[in-house]
Amino acid sequence: MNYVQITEDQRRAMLQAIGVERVEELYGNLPKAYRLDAPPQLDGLPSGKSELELVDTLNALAQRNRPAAAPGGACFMGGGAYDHFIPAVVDHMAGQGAFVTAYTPYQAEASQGSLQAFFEFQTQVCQLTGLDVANASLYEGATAVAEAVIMALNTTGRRRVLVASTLHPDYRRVIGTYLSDLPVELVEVQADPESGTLRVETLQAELDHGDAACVVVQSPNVYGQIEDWASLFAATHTQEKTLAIAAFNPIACAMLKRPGDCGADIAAGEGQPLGIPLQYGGPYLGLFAAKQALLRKMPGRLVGQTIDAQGRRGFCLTLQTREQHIRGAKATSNICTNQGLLALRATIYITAMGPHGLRDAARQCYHKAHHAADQIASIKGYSLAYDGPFFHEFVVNCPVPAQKIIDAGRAQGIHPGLDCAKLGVGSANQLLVAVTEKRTAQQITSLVNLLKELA
Amino acid sequence: MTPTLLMDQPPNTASATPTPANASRAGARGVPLIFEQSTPGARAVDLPALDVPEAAEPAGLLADGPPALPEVGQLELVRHYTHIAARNFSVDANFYPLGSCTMKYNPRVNETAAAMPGFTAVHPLQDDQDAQGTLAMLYQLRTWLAQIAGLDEVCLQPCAGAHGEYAALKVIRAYFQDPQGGNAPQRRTVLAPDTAHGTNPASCAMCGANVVKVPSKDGLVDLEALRGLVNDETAALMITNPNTAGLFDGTITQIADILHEAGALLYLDGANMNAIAGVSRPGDFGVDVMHFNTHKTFSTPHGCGGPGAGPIAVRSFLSPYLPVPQVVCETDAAGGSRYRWENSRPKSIGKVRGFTGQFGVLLRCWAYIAACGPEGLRDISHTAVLSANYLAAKLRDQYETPYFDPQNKRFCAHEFITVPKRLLAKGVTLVDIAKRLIDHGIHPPTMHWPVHDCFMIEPTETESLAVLDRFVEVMLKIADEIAADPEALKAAPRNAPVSRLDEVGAARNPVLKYEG
Repeated sequence: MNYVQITEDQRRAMLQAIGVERVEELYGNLPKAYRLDAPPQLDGLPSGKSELELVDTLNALAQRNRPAAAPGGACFMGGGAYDHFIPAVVDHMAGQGAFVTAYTPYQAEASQGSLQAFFEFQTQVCQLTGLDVANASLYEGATAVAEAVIMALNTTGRRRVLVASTLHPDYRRVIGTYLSDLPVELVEVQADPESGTLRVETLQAELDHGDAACVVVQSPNVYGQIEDWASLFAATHTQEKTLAIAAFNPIACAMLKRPGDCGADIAAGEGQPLGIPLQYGGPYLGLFAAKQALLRKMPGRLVGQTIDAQGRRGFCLTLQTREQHIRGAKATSNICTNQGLLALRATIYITAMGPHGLRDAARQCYHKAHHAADQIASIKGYSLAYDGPFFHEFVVNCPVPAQKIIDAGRAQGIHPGLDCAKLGVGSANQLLVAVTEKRTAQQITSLVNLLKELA
Repeated sequence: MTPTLLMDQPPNTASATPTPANASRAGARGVPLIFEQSTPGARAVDLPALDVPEAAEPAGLLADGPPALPEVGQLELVRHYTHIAARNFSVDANFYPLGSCTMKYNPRVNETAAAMPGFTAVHPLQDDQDAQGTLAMLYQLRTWLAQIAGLDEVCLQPCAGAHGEYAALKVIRAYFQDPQGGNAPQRRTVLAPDTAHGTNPASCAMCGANVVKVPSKDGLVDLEALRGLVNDETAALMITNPNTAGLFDGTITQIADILHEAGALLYLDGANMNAIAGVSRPGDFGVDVMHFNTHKTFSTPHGCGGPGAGPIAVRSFLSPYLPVPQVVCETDAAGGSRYRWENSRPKSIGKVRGFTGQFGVLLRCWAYIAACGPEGLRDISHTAVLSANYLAAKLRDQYETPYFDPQNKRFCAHEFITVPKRLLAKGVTLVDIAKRLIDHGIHPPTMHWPVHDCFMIEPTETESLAVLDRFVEVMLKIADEIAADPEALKAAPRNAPVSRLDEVGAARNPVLKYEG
């Protein structure tokens, strides 16, 4: 089924109206040598599937997966993607055809629904980050942080970028890719091995070399530890022009001090925790906010308020002269298609949770993670890898390889966490455990018992 | 018609003259913002009570209080997002003859597939053995796209077309920098036709490449000019074919030869694959590297502007430089297929995003290709081209088509441009016509691109003949209206939730969030 509605009779009438006999004639400009005589060979797909066959095939594929966050599953996996509760109303409202199948809102009069939702989204992101202006989304967390770095380079005209070693390794790699063909020096500022966080003195020493365009610090960082943004960004601002970039988790922002409260100039992060399923890593949502002074250097689409000819409030895309379709090579970014539907999901999720629900979710993450950490640290042979405050994720030193724990958990339907060696943030005997509000005391006990058995 | 669109009443409580900057305060609200509907204490959902003991909280690191966000009940929430949804055009409700964007029907079964818990609940960092169904699907999609492209290897990771361009340009750069590869590090210039998508030069700039425009002649690349521009600093030409004027560039192989003889590569922007998928393979006409837009050719929904996906396809000599990781298939001892992520690609450009791709989008793309099959894909291209030529033939008496002339066997691909000079001469602008289409429930075509004062019209293959005929009828009616009273069009749209918006005012004093 290819969803074409035109019938054979209609096709003949259309060809006649054009004045040709066969549709192949319309391809006249394309040299015959480069036209296929028959449809292309597609491996394992001799012909199109009916809907019934298609759904059967999809079900069979889905059954070959063992999803960690399946209903009832005890998913303690994090590392940048988290298993949070998603209210049913989010799927229903974001799944409306009028949102799912709408185009980019370039024609404002035909797109007031999307535009109003994005205006609400921008406002919510400003509230969550404590910053002045937010865009209507970027692709996902890692590229959002990379765009923040590019924006800092363009704003300051400098060529040196300082990145905390506690930034998620994928984010560091993506920044590395984005900077690799540019005349830019990328410096990794090493964390304190005891606390798993960046020390102000270490950052200050790097800053003293001068000429840094920006400093990137993630909090909670890749170990789950909370960085002292306020002190680190105060040190950053002792340097003229250097910009402070906070890589943030939006759920943590409902409980902890926000990037803007701590002096960040730009906040960029992964919006997946805001009502977006894990879905194997995408599509997710790049969040991006900045101080007012940086507005005209921002990447991505912005929605602004305006009025119509009768003086009624309406919304439209604005400041488009920053963007590729107007500015070409001089645009602030090449981004065009963004993550509109995911931004809409996040907006509906934030609205559904409300300020108290979000804060409750954040607090439950914090308390359940600390409960789990206390229980685990009390098992002989296990200890927490780092001192100091953490949010909803922590590193455990284990007496056995983390992979052995993960394999043992699989048999019991428990997904105990991530192998730090595999993630590139520690040794093979370290397990990164994330605990969201969805985990129950009973699931935490099951995890603790599993670890005990393996001690 | 769009009977479901909610109309706003003109403001009657305005205490001041509304401006773009004060519209919220001047009583000029349309549908209230969710922030304007907040009732302290209202709740839409709840969480279970905390079932573990509370730990000490890190005093100095805590926020002062909950974030300043709206509080609403669940029914209020549902009404709000139902009301604003009704203020949108969408493929589900409206025809979008939007050139270069391929706004085809988004099959519902693909949404069902993407919502299956067996797919949505997989964590991106689960062991490969826990995601064999997903990996098998990605591997098959990777294979199919390579077969559709006629190229050797596909990387599924890029998040959208522009991101695919970016990744592909990085691959080209890495190839030329490699002494065992292209070994020509001085090749830093990328050529792009003057009709290229804006993302092309923007992606080049992000890679640190110089961009040089290639002029067009009669809607096609000017071959003489191209010959004069290609030299030993040229890395590639980024071309769209069929091009943005809606024409197959029959000189494509000459273009490829010019590039290849000079040691440069040919890049295809796959935005217009809906004209040739299943009919012609870019690899066969000399393309070395290309990107697809799954949200154009392969029916993944546009979602108010995203998400998309921008897989890239390359010839084997570019494979070593593709982003990591890559999904691969191995045969196990029992003869079964095992799938895993391969990270060891020493010459790779590295990672271009977190995790491994827009999986939910790629799944819809897979489902679409699986439903269509090889024959169905070919029929899609044929029908898309047929429908575009049909519209062009029906409209050209009133709306001039500079490159479409069936008497002289000059046809269009899946889209065509019209420059309605005679109508514009009567005192209307292109925007006037576009906004009048909104009154008829039709989304305006792409405007002023690739040339000034043009509409670029792409009907896609999924529209019925009745819809195509109605579009013709509406376009001809608007032409009659212009003949009768061009001034009347200035007030369009009259039948939309808002009338024409002050976009200039919005940019002058930007208000980008609600401030009470």
